[in-house]
Amino acid sequence: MAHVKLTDVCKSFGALEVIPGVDLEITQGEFVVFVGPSGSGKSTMLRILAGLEDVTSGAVEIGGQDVTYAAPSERGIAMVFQSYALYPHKSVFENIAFNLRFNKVAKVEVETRVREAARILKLTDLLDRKPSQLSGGQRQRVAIDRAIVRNPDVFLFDEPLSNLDAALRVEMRFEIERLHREIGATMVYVTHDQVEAMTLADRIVAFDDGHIQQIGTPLELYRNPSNLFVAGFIGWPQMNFFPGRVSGVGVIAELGTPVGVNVGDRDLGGSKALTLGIRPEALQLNAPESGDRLSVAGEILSLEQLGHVSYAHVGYGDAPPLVVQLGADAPHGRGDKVRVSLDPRDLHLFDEDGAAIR
Amino acid sequence: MTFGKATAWAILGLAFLFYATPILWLLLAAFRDEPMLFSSGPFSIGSFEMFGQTWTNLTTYNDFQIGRWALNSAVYTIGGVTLSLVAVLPAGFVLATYNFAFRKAILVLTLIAMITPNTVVALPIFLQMQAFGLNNSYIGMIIATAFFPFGVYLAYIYYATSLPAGLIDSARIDGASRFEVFTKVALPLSKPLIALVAFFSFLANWSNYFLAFVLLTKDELYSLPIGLAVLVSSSGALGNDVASDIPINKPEAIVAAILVILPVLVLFLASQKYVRSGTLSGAEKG
Repeated sequence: MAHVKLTDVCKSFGALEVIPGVDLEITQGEFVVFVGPSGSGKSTMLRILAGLEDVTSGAVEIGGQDVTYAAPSERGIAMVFQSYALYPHKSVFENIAFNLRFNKVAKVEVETRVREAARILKLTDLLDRKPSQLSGGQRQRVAIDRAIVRNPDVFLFDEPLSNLDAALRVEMRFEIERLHREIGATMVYVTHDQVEAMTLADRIVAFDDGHIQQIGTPLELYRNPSNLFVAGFIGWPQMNFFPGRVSGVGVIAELGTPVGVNVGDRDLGGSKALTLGIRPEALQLNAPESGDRLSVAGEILSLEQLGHVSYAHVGYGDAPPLVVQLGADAPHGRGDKVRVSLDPRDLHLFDEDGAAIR
Repeated sequence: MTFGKATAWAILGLAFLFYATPILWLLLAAFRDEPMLFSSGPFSIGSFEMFGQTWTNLTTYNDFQIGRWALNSAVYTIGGVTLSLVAVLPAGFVLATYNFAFRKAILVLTLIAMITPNTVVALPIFLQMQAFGLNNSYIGMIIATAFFPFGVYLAYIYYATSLPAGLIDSARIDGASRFEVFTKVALPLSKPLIALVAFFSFLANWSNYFLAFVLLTKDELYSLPIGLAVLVSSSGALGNDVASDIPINKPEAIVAAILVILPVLVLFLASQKYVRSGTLSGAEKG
């Protein structure tokens, strides 16, 4: 177990700067998830940690040691790849033992450690098989076991569940979470799947365009996104957005027609144009009118019924429809004329640059 | 069967007949003697006795010199194939998996070398071998035939398309050096590539006439194609003039031709599974 520190890490590929300077500290035993869309720099960041990419400038420390220029095998890390990266010509046993053999670990100890690692992820019966004889989930378990057997200070996961089907993904998510609980190692996990991020992370690091957009616990990012990117990226269905502006007397929301909004004591600074955001679960259909609530009349364009919950897409004017979360048995259907309302205290406000106004 | 399918089969059948006829003729002709070659139909069958006489004429010539040439050919070819594999596989691997200065320039040079005709490089190779005193030697002929830029390119394409980058990363994290990544990960996964390179290298070396013609002047060092060419031309076997006193005539020339093509045929049939999978690997995501 070790703590990880990145100091002003920059990475360029030729003239293209992909990471313009990242500072990050990960404490010992923490499970940190890097999330972001494709090309956001999260995987490059992980490969820099692993030593598979050199930094252009900056420093990487693992366990108090400067490993900026250390070879991948000298960093005390183990990595699990999206493609599993198993050696197809070796048996499961030899795949798991490969690193130990390189480090000239005694034969008896190799046997013991491989069998112990195989026990943790229930691979004991498959040790003689070749990777081609395994299912996707089994292959990924071998890849994780290969990391476990090294007893690393830091586990690095590069989108390890992306190639699995939905049911297996849930199962493997649980396995990884259990593994973290059992061995308590520092783990850094890259994904573009926010469900994985929300369920696994002690802290999430949201990346976009090579920059860290926000660091915090999953609920912090969900409830208090620091900017428009995080607000839109975390949470599914996505947060609803609509324009607004600051007038002399307060905030006007463009919700069908301009309507005044009481935003309490939030510091609007010098902002003029705003973006207002609201989560689907904070919207209500046909709620009783009350003084402070904002509301807009619309029509249900489509209704997604997921069994435990439903989502109504309510169109109003030319604006993108509002997504409203409903109970599973809500008595609504496509084409219904409805009134969507919200409590202004649930609104997220963002200035012209996309930064949250709190 | 649809009309399209029938047409396809018909075209394939015609192509098969076109290319198979000369080989069939060659195989049948080996069982006929000189008079029968002229008197009977092109696909008539002679006898084992006739073949036996031809074989005896060929093998007793100059104390079974043809056996010596076949052995020479085998030494040149096996040596050339081995040496080219040793050079080609690591070269292709490094070109495909590492970024270093002049990598692109080396790739372009490889391509240029690949498309340069054999005849153009024969003289420089001859001068080079002469400078090193390697003309008329086994080692000189092997080094010259091991020069195989097409193999480098094949290996480069194979490693660039068929070897997942994750495997190399994984091996590096496991503590493998670059050399160990090659020997312990890439090489065990290279069977189709080795088969493909070895096959093409064998083909190029076994039937290599020009380079051997330039580099070898002593008849005890001749390879099979050179030796047979010299023998056939000196005996006038393929001419219609009065035959020389050497008992090498058309039937012997025919058997000699079979001797040259037979190893290639056998090797192709034995390795075709690998050769086909090698040419297709990387075409699809596994």
